[in-house]
Amino acid sequence: MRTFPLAAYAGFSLLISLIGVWIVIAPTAIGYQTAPAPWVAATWNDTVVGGVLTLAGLALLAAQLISAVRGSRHRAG
Amino acid sequence: MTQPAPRHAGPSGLPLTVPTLALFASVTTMLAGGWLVLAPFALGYQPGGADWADPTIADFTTGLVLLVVGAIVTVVFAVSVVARLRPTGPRPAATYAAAPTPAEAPDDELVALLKPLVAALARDDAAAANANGATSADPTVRS
Repeated sequence: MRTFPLAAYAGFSLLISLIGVWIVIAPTAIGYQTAPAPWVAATWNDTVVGGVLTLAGLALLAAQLISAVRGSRHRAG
Repeated sequence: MTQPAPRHAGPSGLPLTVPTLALFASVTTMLAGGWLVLAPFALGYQPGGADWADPTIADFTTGLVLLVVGAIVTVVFAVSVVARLRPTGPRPAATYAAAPTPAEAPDDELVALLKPLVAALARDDAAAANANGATSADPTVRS
């Protein structure tokens, strides 16, 4: 059984965040949501899901970094 | 000198926090991907039978990517968590409870109890023999 370095976990968190950002900007980037028009259902859905994924990814990244720093301090004595 | 295991370490001594959080995140990613795949149909912005609109293609593709990545990463991180939960190093030797020592035999107790009494009687006997004169011809009398 193998374990993974912190970079693997941090990279995954970053990937989640980036996908979340893409989902948020997709309606405007692809063009099915124009600025002055009221938001369509797809835009609401993408904004909510993308926002949650972005925040979750960043929170996970922060938690992993904090845990890693605490662990290295613990090992340092 | 060996370092003590971190506070949130598993039996292997490796920290569990990071892989466990990552495992939860990967499951969440998988669920989010599944929702994105279903959303166009669930929310009704993709009517059945019609050609897929741009939002449907975007959400379905992104959701599928999330679903596949989430599933792979979930399996990989679950393996990592299980590895950290498993103790490493040689297994400790099996310890057996010590066999109960038999209770001291009552005879030994009795002997121990009577020994001072017997010694005292012997001393008295010897003293009496000395007092009577050590010249007794009686062979049963100890000198």
